[in-house]
Amino acid sequence: MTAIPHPQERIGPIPRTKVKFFAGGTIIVLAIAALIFNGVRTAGNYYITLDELAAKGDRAIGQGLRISAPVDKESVVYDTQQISLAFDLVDPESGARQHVVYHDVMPDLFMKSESVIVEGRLSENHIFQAETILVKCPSKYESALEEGQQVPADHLNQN
Amino acid sequence: MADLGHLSLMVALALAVYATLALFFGTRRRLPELISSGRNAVWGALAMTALAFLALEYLLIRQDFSVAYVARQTSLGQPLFYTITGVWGGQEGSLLFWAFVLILYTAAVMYFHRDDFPELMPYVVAVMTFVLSFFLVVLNFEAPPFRRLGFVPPDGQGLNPLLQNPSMIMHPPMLYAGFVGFTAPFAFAIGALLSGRTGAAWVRLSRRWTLVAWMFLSIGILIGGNWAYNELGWGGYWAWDPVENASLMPWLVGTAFLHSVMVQEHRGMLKVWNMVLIILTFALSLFGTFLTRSGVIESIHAFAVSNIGTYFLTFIGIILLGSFFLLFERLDHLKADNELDSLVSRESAFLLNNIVFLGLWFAVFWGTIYPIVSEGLTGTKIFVGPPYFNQVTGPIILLLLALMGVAPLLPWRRASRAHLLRNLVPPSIVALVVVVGLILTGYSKFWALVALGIVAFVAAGHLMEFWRGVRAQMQRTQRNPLTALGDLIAKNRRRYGGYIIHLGVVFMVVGIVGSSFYNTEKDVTVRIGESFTVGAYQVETLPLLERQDAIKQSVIAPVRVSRNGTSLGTLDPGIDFHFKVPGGQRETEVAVRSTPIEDFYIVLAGVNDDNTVTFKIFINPLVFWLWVGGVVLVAGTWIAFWPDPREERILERVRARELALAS
Repeated sequence: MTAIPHPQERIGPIPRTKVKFFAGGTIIVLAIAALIFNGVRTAGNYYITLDELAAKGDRAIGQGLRISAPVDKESVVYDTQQISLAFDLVDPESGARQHVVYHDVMPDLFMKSESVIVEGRLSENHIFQAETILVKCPSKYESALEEGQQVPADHLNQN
Repeated sequence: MADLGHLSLMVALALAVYATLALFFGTRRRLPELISSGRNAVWGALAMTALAFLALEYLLIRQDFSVAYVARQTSLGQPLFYTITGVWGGQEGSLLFWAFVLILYTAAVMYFHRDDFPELMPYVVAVMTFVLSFFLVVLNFEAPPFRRLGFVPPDGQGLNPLLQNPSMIMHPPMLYAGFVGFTAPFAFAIGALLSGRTGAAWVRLSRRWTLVAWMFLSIGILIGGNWAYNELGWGGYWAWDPVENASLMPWLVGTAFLHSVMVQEHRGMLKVWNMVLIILTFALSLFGTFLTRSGVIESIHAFAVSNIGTYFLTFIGIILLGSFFLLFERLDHLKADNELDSLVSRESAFLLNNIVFLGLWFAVFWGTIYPIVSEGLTGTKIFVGPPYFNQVTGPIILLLLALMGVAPLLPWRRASRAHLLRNLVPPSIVALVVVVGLILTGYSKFWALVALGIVAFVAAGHLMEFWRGVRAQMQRTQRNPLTALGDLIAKNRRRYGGYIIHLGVVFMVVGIVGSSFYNTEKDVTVRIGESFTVGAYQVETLPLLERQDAIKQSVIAPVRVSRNGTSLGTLDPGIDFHFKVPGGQRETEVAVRSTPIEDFYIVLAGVNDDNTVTFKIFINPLVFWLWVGGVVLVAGTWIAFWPDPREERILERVRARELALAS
């Protein structure tokens, strides 16, 4: 079964099989490239700040967006019956503000977050419809220990 | 003990560097004494790394909180089991574990090939100790596991609660054994380039090492998915998170490599390509660690950010530049022995399989690094999430599955029309029957039907191959079908092991199609004591239970579940609160009732102030088969890995020829 090494001469026209194979391979590569290109175009979320969002105005409507900002904890309304979460993102420096609605369960640690990352789209009435929320937490493991802090006991239903 | 561990890591580094240099120059200058001294250094490095690993385990078990790593990974009252496995729960420990696994592989490669290829093997071992040196540099200078805090905290923080789960215990070691394992075939490839022995020898010799790595990586990925499913509480097993992609990428390219080396073995083609694939696979294993450890890409896997990224990126650069330079230097040795004879042949199908596997890898890679790329190009980071990955990889995976169905039915070199008809028509009919049957019973989702049709084709084609083999075997030996099947597999483990792996993939695809196209999700808020229905299920909530142990408080909302009036018993979804973690950490405990038909998956999402609770409920059809498929896949790999008399004879021939060449 092992190949016997007797290299073929490489003179003369390129075999047709090889040409066909390269043509086929190229088509597949191009098709995959097209899939990737189209995927990025339709499913990409632009990472922008609240200020950039405000500056975009109506042009931001309908576009896939990703925003990272602190939550104004005062503004949080969690409707446990309808299971929907509404809150404002606020830029502590510029004061820019964006109302966000999320039709899902409040994520763990949401109320303790330093800031959150929301992904979704801006609707016609400038409400941000979040599809996902990622909670960013202070890098709790390293810092707390190094400073020798004691660990606070906390209440179970801290949300 | 911490000092001993620290010291042994320094000695291990010195030994690894010495082994690399001694083996390299010993082979180059033909100095047998230097080579044997290099080998001894490998045993020494093994002893020292093992000692460091055991020292860390000892400190963990003794709960010596003066060591930073121990204080982070364990706490008083944490189950001993999780304390022992906490050794790979954090950065420093997992790197140490990595180095330990690597030196184990290195010693094993050295030992099992001690009589093989005096020209090649020392180089192979030198490449492995070179990689080991890198990890030991990181352990000594950037991520020291034995660093002391400077004070002794009364208690530790404990292992991240999310990791306190039986499958999380097995996930990291399996994944590492896979990642690290690819060092072996990579080292064989580089050794072949260094020694100029670029024939089929390195491919044959490294095949089983590749399979071991591939199997561990597969198990690691599967357990990771299983953990995500049972622990994270979002009802799925794969989220296209950068860290998940990090483990998938070397798997994809490694799988392409496993297939394309067969073309080199049978037909003496694709020699350069195989080199490229294994170099890329290894680089991606390192890139996986880089992604998970550097924090360049935001991930739900909240690892600490550190300088380690720079180390890894530099090392990946060295590996890629060095390997490709060497490959370029040796291009003359890597000419193909044969040309492609026909488009409709097994080698041609393998080539296509390779292109598509790499395309799939690139789609995943591009999506994973796209935030960085887009920021470089446009100044704005653009993230792509599951929608991108699903819509891009879906069609590519279907194409791969179709190739997986067709390739085993094609002969090497050239297929005749009669052969094609005989082989492709029966499975096509089966596929058609399955699709029509599904449509008639009311299934109408296009992509699900396409996927299930292809999968039916694959399954039918493979079973047909098995049946033909069994029939021939039965005619020869006059035995019953079962014995014949056993004999058939034992006679050609590689081939039938491979087919069993393919059948495992079939089961997995059935599970994935079922759970991603036909799943239902419902969120409910309900007063305790009341009932509600989801699909065919009736759920009655029972009074809350509260518990507390040394590390966590738990609240459980038991539910009594019945389906169409038949009681299925009680499930206990709950929320744990781990109070030793700074700031506390809340974690949901998912409850799942799994059957071959569908999973009933319930999460306690919240306990509200007004005596109500909120549940998330998922009904996931056929997920069961994903795990069954995983087990079948691993079993198939095991069969393909097991020594095969035919394979041994070929290896003997290769050995004899190499020895003749060397003398």
